[in-house]
Amino acid sequence: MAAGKLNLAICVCFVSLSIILLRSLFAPQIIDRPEGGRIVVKDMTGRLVRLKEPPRSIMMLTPVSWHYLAIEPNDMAILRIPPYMRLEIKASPLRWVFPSLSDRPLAFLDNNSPSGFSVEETMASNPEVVLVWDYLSAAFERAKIKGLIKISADHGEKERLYKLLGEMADKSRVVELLYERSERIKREIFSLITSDMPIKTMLVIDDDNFSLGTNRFYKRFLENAKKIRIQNLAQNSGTSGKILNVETYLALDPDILLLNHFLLASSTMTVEDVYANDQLKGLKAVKNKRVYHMPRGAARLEGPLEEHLLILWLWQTVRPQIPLKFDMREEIRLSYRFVFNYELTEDQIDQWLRLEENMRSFGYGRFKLSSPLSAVLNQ
Amino acid sequence: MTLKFASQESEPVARNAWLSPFLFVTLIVLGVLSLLIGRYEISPREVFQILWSSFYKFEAFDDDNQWIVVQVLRLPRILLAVLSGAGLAVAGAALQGIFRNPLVGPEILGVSAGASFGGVLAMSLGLVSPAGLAPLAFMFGCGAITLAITLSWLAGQSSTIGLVLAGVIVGGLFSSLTGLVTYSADAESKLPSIVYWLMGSFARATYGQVAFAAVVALIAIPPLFALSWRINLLSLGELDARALGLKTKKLRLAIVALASLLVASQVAVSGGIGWVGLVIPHLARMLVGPDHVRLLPVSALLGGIYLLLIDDLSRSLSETEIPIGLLTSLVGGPVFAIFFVRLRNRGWNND
Repeated sequence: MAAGKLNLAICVCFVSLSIILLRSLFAPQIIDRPEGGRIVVKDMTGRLVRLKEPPRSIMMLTPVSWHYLAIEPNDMAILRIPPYMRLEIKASPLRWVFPSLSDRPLAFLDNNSPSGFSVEETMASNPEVVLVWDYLSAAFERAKIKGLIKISADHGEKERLYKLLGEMADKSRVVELLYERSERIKREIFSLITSDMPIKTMLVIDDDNFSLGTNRFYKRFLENAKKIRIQNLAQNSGTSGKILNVETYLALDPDILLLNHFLLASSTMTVEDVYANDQLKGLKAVKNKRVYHMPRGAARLEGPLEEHLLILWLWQTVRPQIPLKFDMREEIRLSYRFVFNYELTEDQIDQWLRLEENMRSFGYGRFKLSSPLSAVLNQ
Repeated sequence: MTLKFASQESEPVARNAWLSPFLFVTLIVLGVLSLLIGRYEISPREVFQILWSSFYKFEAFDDDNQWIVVQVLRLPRILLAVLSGAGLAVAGAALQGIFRNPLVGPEILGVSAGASFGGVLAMSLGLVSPAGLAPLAFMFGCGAITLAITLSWLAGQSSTIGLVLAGVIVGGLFSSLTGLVTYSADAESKLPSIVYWLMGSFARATYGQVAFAAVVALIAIPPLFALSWRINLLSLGELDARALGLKTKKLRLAIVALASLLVASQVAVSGGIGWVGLVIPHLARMLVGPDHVRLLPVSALLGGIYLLLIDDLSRSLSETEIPIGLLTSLVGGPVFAIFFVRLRNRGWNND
């Protein structure tokens, strides 16, 4: 009796598993319906995506709304944003330019969520375009989601991202104009460099654990810094992006210490905290009051909106003695006006510069509205 | 310590004679009902039409969203959840039987840790697709158990306790390696997917993964069922089993190898999912008693049902996929605590 039941169980198990196996061996196939589209976008994995028109509804599962809005300053098409984007909007000038954008529904549960957004939920929202990280796109691709555009997480490819979004919005010319302006200003800054200028050294602190700013995240920033003879000490130390002990900081002893502004770095550290930290008091940068919190711009202050502003800020922060024909406050104002047609107030510019927090640090008074440059230079 | 409950020696067997057929039908019904659950609304009528069309329609255009949701998104993950749950529960029940220890789970032999390391290594090498990840995870899972067996043999500890100790060592080693790879993974492009995978999910289920899991299940589950009465003898103890003419060492190795195959394949297709192999055999034992001839099939069915229901929650509770490993831990911990108290009160026999 028992043997009979056992044999029956084995048979049922074998048959059930065989049926499942057969079903999966003859898996259903999805056929691409040939579709014409005026707009052809080559995404960052090389796939061609065809769109009939610039999208009127975008599911933004990657934090690229800043970049998109620099090209198409109309946030109404954005259906959802990732949580990081909401934090960034609230913490950056985006909240002034697009006040309702932070109310948009979220596309993930938590900040920097490792979990994927529901593919079914995406299909139910029926967006014309879905922007998704390439490494999280497998489930979307398997379901052949229409208008799926994959974004590479490699932040060294920011220019490619802008071009892609320009193609998507059918505004490639806008991207060209943005980059032309940004590159022109950068060229003018770089042209002022002479080989006899001393090289300054710096470190970027990522968070409260004293992680170092990674080379890849700040690839363009660090490249630009090098061009104005500011060397990132983490570049050759092999410790970039990793948690350091304070002794390593003391051993590297940079001229300037920068606090990362990037929200994902989850730092609550302020310039005042660094000055008050007894363990760091031996650092040259602390002794000389050369600790600065990077400006409160968007994401990593990259791309044609703020890349040149960051390098201009760095130049004027590290070398406040050398006058430049560019007025930092005016350049910030002009950039926002040019890209978003938005007029920043003086208070907003102060916030962009983190004027209050950085005011104790050497030379930062030059960015003050009421301070004549000459008075600051005589500090 | 044998797995024998004082109150389960005679009457539950007769009382639960129809339990296996009932669970089998329940599993099929729940599987069909699970097709109705999800964030994309489809009426039951349409779901049944699409399901019926499986017999004659093998393809559809990419704008047929309802067909895609049912056939491409929901069905493979339902099948994979059932296969994984059944495999883990059978592996757990078999291992608890041969080790004569109710606290043994599939993780104890280091297979899960080995497979997890393989998966994490694959992702750090850029092999993020299921086709690239699963083979490496499976290979390392099998490698871990081979290492554990070799280690116990080298130490001259071919006994049960020797194998468990070797499993703990190997598991610890692979856990450390997983930590090392995770630590050095790229924080933005690789770390999130590694963390998510380690927490387990069927979100990326494909028919390829289902086929893989089904093949492994075919290789391991029917033979384990066939060996179930021998597991009964092994659970009597080494001396008794030998006295009854069993080649205990070879038999134990064969059962460990088959259980390890199931665990490694589960981790390879869906990442780390804990508690199933520990909790479900206990539940099954409460229902049918310690006889493995009945325990293994009931564990398989209960495991399938359990993981199917958990996956339904995982994909429908919120807009974001909730990692299934989190839910199995959240549910499994308290459920195990209840079993523990109830069984203790009823007399968990530790002869």
